[in-house]
Amino acid sequence: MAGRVELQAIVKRYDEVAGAPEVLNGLDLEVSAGSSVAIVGPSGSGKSTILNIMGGLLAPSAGSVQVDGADPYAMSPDALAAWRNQRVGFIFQAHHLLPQLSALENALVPTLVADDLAGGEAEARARELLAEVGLSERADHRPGQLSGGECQRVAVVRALINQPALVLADEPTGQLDEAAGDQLADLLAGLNERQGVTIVTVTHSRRLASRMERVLAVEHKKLVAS
Amino acid sequence: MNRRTLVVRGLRHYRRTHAGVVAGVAVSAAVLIGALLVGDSVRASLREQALARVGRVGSAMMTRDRFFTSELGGRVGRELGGPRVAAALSLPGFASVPGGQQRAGIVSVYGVEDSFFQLGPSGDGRAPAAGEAVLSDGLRRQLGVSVGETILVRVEKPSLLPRDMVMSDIDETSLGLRVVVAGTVGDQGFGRFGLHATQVAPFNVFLSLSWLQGELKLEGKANLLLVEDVEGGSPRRAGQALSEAWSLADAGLSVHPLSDGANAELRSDRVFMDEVVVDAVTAKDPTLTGVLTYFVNAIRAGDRSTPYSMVTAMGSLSTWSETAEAGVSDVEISGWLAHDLEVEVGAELTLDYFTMGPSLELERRTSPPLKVRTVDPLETPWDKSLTPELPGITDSENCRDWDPSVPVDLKQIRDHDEVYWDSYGAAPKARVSTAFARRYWRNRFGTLTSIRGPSARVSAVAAALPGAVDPARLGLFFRDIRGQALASGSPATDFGGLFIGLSFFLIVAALLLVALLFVFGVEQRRAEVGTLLAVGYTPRRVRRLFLGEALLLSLLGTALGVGLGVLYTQGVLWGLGTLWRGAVGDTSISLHVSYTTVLMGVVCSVLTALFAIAMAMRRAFHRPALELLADQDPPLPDAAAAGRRPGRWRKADLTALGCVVAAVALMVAMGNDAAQAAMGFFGAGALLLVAALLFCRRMLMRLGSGAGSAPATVASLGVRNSGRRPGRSLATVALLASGTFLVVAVQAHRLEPPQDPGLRSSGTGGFTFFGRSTLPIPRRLDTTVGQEGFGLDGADMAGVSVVSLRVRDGDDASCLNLNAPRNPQLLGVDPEAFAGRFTFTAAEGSESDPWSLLEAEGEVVPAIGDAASVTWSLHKKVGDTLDYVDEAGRPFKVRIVGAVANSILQGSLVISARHLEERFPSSSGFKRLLLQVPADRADRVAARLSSALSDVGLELTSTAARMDQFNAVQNTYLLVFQALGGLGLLLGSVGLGMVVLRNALERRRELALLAAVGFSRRSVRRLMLGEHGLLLALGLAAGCVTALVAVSPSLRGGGPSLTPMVLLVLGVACNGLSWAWLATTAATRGPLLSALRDQ
Repeated sequence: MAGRVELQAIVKRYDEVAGAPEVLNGLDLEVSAGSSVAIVGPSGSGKSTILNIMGGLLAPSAGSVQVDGADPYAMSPDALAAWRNQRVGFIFQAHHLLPQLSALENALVPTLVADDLAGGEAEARARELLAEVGLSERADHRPGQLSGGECQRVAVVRALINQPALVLADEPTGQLDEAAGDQLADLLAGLNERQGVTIVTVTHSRRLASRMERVLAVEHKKLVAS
Repeated sequence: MNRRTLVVRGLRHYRRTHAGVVAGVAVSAAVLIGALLVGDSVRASLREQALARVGRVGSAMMTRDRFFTSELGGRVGRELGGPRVAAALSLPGFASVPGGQQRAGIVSVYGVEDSFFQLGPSGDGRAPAAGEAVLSDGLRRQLGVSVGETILVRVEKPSLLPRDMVMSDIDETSLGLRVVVAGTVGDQGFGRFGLHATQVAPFNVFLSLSWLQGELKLEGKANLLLVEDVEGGSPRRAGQALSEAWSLADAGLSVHPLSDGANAELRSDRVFMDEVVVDAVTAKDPTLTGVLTYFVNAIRAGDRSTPYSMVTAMGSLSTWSETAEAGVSDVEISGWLAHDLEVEVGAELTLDYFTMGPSLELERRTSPPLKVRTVDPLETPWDKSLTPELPGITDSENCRDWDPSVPVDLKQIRDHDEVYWDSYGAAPKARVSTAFARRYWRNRFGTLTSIRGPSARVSAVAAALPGAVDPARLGLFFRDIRGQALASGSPATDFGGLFIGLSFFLIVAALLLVALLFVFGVEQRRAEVGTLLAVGYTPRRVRRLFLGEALLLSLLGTALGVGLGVLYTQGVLWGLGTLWRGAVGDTSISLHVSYTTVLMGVVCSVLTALFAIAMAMRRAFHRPALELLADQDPPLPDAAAAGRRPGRWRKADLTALGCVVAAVALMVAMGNDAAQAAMGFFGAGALLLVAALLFCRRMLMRLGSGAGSAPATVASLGVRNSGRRPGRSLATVALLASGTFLVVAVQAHRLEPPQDPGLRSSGTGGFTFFGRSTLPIPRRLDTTVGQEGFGLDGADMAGVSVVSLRVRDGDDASCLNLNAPRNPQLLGVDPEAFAGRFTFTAAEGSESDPWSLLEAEGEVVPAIGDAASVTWSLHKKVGDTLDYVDEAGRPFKVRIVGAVANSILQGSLVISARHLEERFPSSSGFKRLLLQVPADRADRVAARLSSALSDVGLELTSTAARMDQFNAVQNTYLLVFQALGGLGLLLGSVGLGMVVLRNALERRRELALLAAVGFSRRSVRRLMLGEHGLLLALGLAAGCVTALVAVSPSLRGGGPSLTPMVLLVLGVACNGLSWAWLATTAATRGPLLSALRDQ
């Protein structure tokens, strides 16, 4: 099963000048394939930084990142982009849907990266995923015509469209009300259970964190079991 | 769903943002395509005009001062078979309305038959009847006459004898004709007919050929033969037909029986026989006798003299050869002369006679002493048939009625001279050797006045001549008129390229606006870009998606631009016909749209828009996805970078300093030459502009970094804000500054009349007036003979220096002619007359006076031209050659050996008069005068000369006015550049508005915060205006100050008024402030605090 993540001795400074303060310092983490992890902690503690380092969006200042045995930061920029496209699904606090596209089209955006597009197949999968998140009736609506929760569910479908082994969610319920947040938490937990997708989420929401198998907290620039 | 869908959806969703981009592309496309279409329109209009000028004519034979029989047309036509042929008389003249003020100074007068009009574009039309005239439309308008009215046409009265010959009649060089206007003809009716490459519709008068021949005493003669451009009518074929069809009469040759019945002689209408004919006869029968009889002023022996006599030389043709020297000091005299001079064999005589100097001044000469070898027992051993027909002499009943063109003192004629004349007429009184005659009396028109011998042998030789002589050597040859017209029908200047150059700043401003707007759109969508990067798009792929959008926008904008481009072309053509008429003179240019050009313009427009966008967003996708997703502004300039960081700043500082030093050095190094100074100061201004922009950059970086004291006022906070986006701010400043600089600084290139036109080194050459006559002035006006011919005397010409120029008509190579001149007009001058005049921009060799280069001998004729004509009209440089054909159809080369700066000589090439005479021996007189007149007498002398020389159509223009006329062309182009550049600058200030709007929208939350902490809406607007007012002020100040440096040389001379420029800058400032205010108002409309809540 894919989706195993291993971080070792991660250090991250935002200003690479010598003596600048570290956001993370000697952080270790191991996420087994098919598991789900919630990372909690106060604002500015470096939660999102951990997620971005895992997803190949932010190179650590020091330490090692292994996802399914591969170091994404050893890859060329193009290979890293392709890796993110195929192996990682991102869900952000803001849904970041393209306002000009419908829900279905937004879900399909990551599939356009590949040169050998299997248009029909991808669309069928997108419709299937939209149905799974309860949006089959809203597939042709644009973000402006959807609620915040619906947009975030479309973002989940977009994250899953290329069948990634690892889904990284950065405060996915941060801009949702309680009911919508619960609905999204159910969705993520269900995905993990049904499809065996490794899920790592950063959240302030205890309700979402409680739906994950493990909950870790950032303390003193390191992760500890919560 | 595919990538195309993504692109198309993006376009649709952001259509409002993109509207500005489309509009910007449409403007740049319109200007680009419009400029190319201006080029097409000029090219097509000139081609149309060139074709209207030559109609259906393919080739033409123009013999100018030589006349062939008009029947030759029929014979050539029969030889050719199909093509139509028309013979005509073509003469210069001028026309006026009797008793009226309307006058046309330069008119082409044609004597034609119906066949002429059949060669016109429409192929129909009838020649006017005797005493009637058909006028070209332009001439009718110029004279303001209608059909049925009478006009006066003064036409050159051709002489069979070359006017430059000693005995030629120079008193009656023109003939006035009173004709009734029978009709007018437009372009289709051949009203534009002309053989020189010019876009200006000529003033043409068409008269009946036979009537004009009669009036001019040229019965049966013509000097223009036109052949239709159809199968079998090529110039080569026409030349072959001519070789078959020409006869002796077409070369002015004829055989006359002598009174003895046994002999005959071959004579020329032109008195002297062409050398080529003599050579051909000599080759056939060298035993025939060649004769030269010359008019001498006096035959002297000691203190006795016989006035005004004919002296002949006779000998077999072989004795006329170059090497024969026998008897060069001998003379044989008649019994009458021996008696008159009281001399015998062995006595010495001298002969006084006139020859023609190189500048057409009569030179009085005396021969070396001649020894009397024989005294003929007969009173007159030689009969008068030996003397050719000399006007004013041989046609007189009595000696005292003589009226020759040379000064003759009739008081010297004695009674027994009159008796001799009554008895023997113009019979020669003495005979010199052929060697003497050849050495002293041979001239450029020939050596022999007749060839005589037994009738049978003379007739046999005459019959064989047409086959033995190449008619081209007698001026009988065809030129490819159609080919020349089509070749010269392309403009000398590529107007497409020119207008792209003139509209350059407008295009750049539009493209900058396009790039700015597109990049703003991209920045607006940075979260989208971040998302795409996060989900696995590479920056290259994201760029491609945006370029896809840019491509579609460019296509859409360009499509709109095509229509606008046509409107732009119409606008420019309207401008060229009205406001900017100085650039194209009287040329009427109509709109022509070529699909190929439009396609080319579309491709260029799309590519340039794409390039501008691609350059502007080349860094847009290199920011981290997370930064973009967070919708963060790029980081502010580092405080440390504001002046202290080594490397980059030091480099920029050094560059700025280097620019200032180079600018000062350039200004100091410039000499007194006005053109050089203008260029130098323009360069210095440009360098200072770069330094100023670097200074602005540094200032903006400092402001953005927050260095310095805390802002004390709202305005100072705004000023500091202007450095937050230094790239964007600097782009705005640079656009405004460089636009202002260009538009103001080109003023430095405005050509002004010379401050002291009397200066010999100036463009006037020190001359006060430039004179142009329609008909040739037969003798130099600075000689007594020349002045007396026009009733002038020494008092009239006191203190006046005259340089008379010979002219070989050709194409006008000045900037007033839009056509590409092929054979520019040649001016023949005595180079010494120009010594020390004008200023050379380039010359071969190292002579202190390059005019002396014109004297060089050789196959190639050296020439000097105006630098502007040489470079821009002829597209040549010093050392290049041009191909010409001489009067005898022989090609020769003219080499440009020097060029003079911005002068009254524009339009022609100046060669030595001697070279001109050698190549064109038949051209006679002077048609251009340059006069240097004392300032206090200028008006009086001009009035006197204009009146005295009105019969030759002299038009005097002050050299300053002539310079102005030429300068107007360049100045008009500068005006166009400034007008279009000004539009670009206004467009640039729209860009400023866009920057304001964008900055305000980006910082809406920040403005909301200001509102929340108590700033009033007015204060917020003041803040924004202060911020952007600084950019506007910086741009305009940098542009104006550096431009003033560039124009300072012309300002020092009290040159052009700066008022239009000041108004333009004020306009741009007002426009920029208006846009900034509008954008600020738009961005701060509505409740500001809601933006804070949105956060």
